[in-house]
Amino acid sequence: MKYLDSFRNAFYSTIAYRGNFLLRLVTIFLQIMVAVFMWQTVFRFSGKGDIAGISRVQMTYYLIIVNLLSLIFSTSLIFKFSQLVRSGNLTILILRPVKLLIQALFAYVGLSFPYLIIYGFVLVVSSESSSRSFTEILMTLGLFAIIYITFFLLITAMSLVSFWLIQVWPMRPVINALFMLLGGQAFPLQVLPSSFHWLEYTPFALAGNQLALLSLGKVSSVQMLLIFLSSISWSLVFLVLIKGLWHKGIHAYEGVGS
Amino acid sequence: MSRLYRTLIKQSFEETLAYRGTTILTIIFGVLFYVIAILTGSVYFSFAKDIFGWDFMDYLNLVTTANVMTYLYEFLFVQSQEALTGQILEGTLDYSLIRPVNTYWFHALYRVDFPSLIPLIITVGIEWMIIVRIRLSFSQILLYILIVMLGTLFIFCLNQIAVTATFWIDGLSALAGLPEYLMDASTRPARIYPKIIQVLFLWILPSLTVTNIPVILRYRMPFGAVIWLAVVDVCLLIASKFEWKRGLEHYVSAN
Repeated sequence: MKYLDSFRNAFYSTIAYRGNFLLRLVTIFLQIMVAVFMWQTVFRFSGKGDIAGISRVQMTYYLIIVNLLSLIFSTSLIFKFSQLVRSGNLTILILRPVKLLIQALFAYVGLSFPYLIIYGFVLVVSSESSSRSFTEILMTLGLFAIIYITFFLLITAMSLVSFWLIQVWPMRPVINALFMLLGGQAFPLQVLPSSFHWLEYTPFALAGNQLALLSLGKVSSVQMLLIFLSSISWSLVFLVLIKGLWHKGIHAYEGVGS
Repeated sequence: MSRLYRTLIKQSFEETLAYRGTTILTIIFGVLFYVIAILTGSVYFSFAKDIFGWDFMDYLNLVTTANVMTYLYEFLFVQSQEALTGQILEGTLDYSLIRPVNTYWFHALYRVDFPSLIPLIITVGIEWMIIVRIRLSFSQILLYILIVMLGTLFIFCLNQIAVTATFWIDGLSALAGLPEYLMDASTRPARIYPKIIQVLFLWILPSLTVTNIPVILRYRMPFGAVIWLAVVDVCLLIASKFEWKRGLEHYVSAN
């Protein structure tokens, strides 16, 4: 299948620079350790057994998973697409007999594949601390796939602004900050007052906070349904946005070569 | 050298005015991450009013001081170090190597990052309010300023060592980010970490000392830690200069 080549190329590009790959894992490990030590201290001095329904052990797993998710939900697609538009090399891709969105999805999965394997391993270990049925695990994996596609569509929509912006690097710190706050990387959103609970259904919260809680079996059936509906709704919004932006952007684009 | 530095500052200022969009974005992002750190701290302290004898004001002092040091480092050195990596890899150091200047300091002070000045002024203003609130004496304020200067030098040395490694290592871009992660991990009370990590980062590579002693200053004068930090700074500076010297022997010109 032609799209598998895109997957394979992206996967190799992640692991080809082994030093960078390992250092990225080391830095994420550092971030996890800092967050775990800090929250364990907060638990100790608060005198509480659980915070916002999350126990000490679950908080540790939550922090590991949410930080791994920040690696899985990469933003590199934006910068790669921007490079193609700026250099005019997008023409080469347009001329190929492929659907660009599907090819980009396969490349996106390939880039995050090594992290997905680590995530799967952590998921198996953390599931031992929660008693979940096989159906619940399947539903969790299904929701993971839907949210993964939602986030991919969000990043794709964001990357299309490259048709109009010369520099897209400012997006990186903005997305990092959004993932840290709305994605629940800094703290689970559930610790916020109830008036902020609507934040749990934003795309960043779905990709970080909700997926981490889902992996821990801390989401009720009603919440699962809400996550499913909000994810589908966001996906539709992003698909419409992608279609509109692509249609307008391609007219603003100037290519090179034949 | 001072006339040359004035010229470099003037050039940096003109560049800042030319890239106005980048300047505004740098200011916004700088403040954004400081706000996130404070928000996160307020969440911690909403569950525990006291953490190892520290209250929220101490945490705010810790985060603000760490940011003051980081912004001061960024204002003075970050642009120069970012440019240096490219110059080493592209083999374009020749233009400075043939000049009658100290090349180490020329490349360390090549550019000033004016956009970082705004978040620096904001955090210094907030820190001043904290200092007034916790009522530090004049001698404590003097020691605080000395710690901030030593801390900034410490961050500079760590980054300079990482950047100079480009003479030997090509393509390991994540290495340059390690000092930033280390300082970020140090923006927490030292006592949350296990003893072995405390010993490592309070005494051997004292990043926790850099961020924690300005807070301890409220309770006692940490002279021993300050002297040790100065000793480590001198050692790191010597190591960094030695690395630069050896690196130049490895340098391959593109000319």
